[in-house]
Amino acid sequence: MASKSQDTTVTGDTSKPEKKLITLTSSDNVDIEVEREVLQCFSLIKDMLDDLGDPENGDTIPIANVSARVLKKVIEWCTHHRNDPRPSADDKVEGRDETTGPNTDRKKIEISEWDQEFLKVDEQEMLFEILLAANYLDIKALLDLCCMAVANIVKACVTPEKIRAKFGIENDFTPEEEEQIRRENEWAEQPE
Amino acid sequence: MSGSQLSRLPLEIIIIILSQLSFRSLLSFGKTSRANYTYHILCMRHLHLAVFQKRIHALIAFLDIDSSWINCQSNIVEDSTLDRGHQIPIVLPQSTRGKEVIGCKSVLRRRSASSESRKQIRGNGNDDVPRSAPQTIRLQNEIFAKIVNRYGNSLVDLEFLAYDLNIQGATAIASNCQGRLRHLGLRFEHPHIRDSMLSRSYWLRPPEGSTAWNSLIGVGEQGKNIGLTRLESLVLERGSITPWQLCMLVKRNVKLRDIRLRNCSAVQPEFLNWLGGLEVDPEEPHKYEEVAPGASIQVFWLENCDSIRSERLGLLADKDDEKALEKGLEWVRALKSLKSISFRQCPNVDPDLVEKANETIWRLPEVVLPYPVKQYNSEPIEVDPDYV
Repeated sequence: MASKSQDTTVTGDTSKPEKKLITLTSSDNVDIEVEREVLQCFSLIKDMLDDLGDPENGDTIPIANVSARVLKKVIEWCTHHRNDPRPSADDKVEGRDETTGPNTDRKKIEISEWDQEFLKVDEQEMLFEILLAANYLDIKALLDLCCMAVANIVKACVTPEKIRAKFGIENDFTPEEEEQIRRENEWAEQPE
Repeated sequence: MSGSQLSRLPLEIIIIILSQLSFRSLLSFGKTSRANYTYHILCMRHLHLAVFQKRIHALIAFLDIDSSWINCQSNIVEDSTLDRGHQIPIVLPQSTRGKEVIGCKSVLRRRSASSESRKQIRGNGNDDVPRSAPQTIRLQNEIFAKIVNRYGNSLVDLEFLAYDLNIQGATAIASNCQGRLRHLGLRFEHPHIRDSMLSRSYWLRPPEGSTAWNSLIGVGEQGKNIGLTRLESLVLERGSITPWQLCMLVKRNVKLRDIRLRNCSAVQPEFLNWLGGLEVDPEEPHKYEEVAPGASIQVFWLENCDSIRSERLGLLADKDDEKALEKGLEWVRALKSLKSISFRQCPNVDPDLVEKANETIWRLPEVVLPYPVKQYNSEPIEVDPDYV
């Protein structure tokens, strides 16, 4: 196992010494200290801490599926949004409704300027990493934000060819199938 | 989608992403690969289809819903019918499109075209002439059925705006949307759409009853092993469904809480009394139930229906006699969960009586009167002597 490295740069506001710090260990074995208050956004970890209590001295919480680079971004987002109201039990949450399938009737969110800047990541790959981390760590608001960002990329592409190019999708339709779909879609592709 | 970034995402997240796309973006996404074709179908949950001769007709039909909603906006109940979803205007194939529309050059609009020649043109079914109403209905339902056959399994909310429903359209709904559909809207009243092939009174009355509706309730030749069972809200406008067919539809959909009927043949005392438990079940005449079949309905709107009749409050000898007040509307009392009732534009219901009955008997949070209550004013009305 690779040796651990300590990272203390991403912890939110460290000027107040009374704030309790919890150490997370990323999938690439980097320790990152986070204020306990910030961890309230991470539903997965919050529930765990509520059930089991805070780790003893020197213990860390392993985040097996998230690399340090991505975890820092997630913590950055949670630190900024630490005071946002938490979703209530009445809010629709993502999940599979036994009768209607995945609940996609989610509340519309407005993207703040800060979030827009946050989402301007260099590589599209990073956006997907953050999205998967938000899903794993159960941070619903961040998950919604990333889904919206991906949806906006699809919307901007317009044609199937551009969508394929943008997301690296392989066209596995035969020409006959493509022709059939084109005919099936005739009703929807009338000029406006 | 193999190897793509999207392919690493769990299906539920893909569906959340796709549910935020516009209809056209979703269709484009569905054309990218086989897997994505399946995903785009899974995501099509709300579909409102207006199928007409011209695009402007479809837009007018959608606008009519919006404007009627502004007039009918309820303070009491959330309008489940207003989840816009994807509103798709669909134009019928071009063969004769436009010729029959007022304002366009048409053989029928020439002065020389006699009524006989019009009849000939309507009768021969040639592609060069305007379509008759039955031809239009057949085409509308053909296109609608094609779409429902593709997306029906995923739909929770479906609306069809056209001239009428036929067996093909009804069977498509009943066979593809059985398990999942929660809201169904069938709107066939579009008084602002002008089509010269339609008579002037076309929009005023529902068409004659049809067996097509049997498919929705899963009876008859076409209806075996199909039919809707999970509806929670139902909108029928100018629907030719019979009282019996509507009874069966309500009976099969035990979760129905919101029923909005406008200009529907089924709104007859026979149906209303059954709903209020005043008449025996036509299917099980010996079964006695303490709770009325409509006891769980929360929203019940009956609009522009002339078969509902009440007494006139002004003609009642005893205005505090509950039995006399309720005469013709006794069924309302049995709808125990009711929060909102509407008699808008029902010409044979007295608004004064409805108001009085609600104050003294029903005590419902929201009652929409047939038309505004008269404001009695002792002052004389001025009349221009020139006009006289």
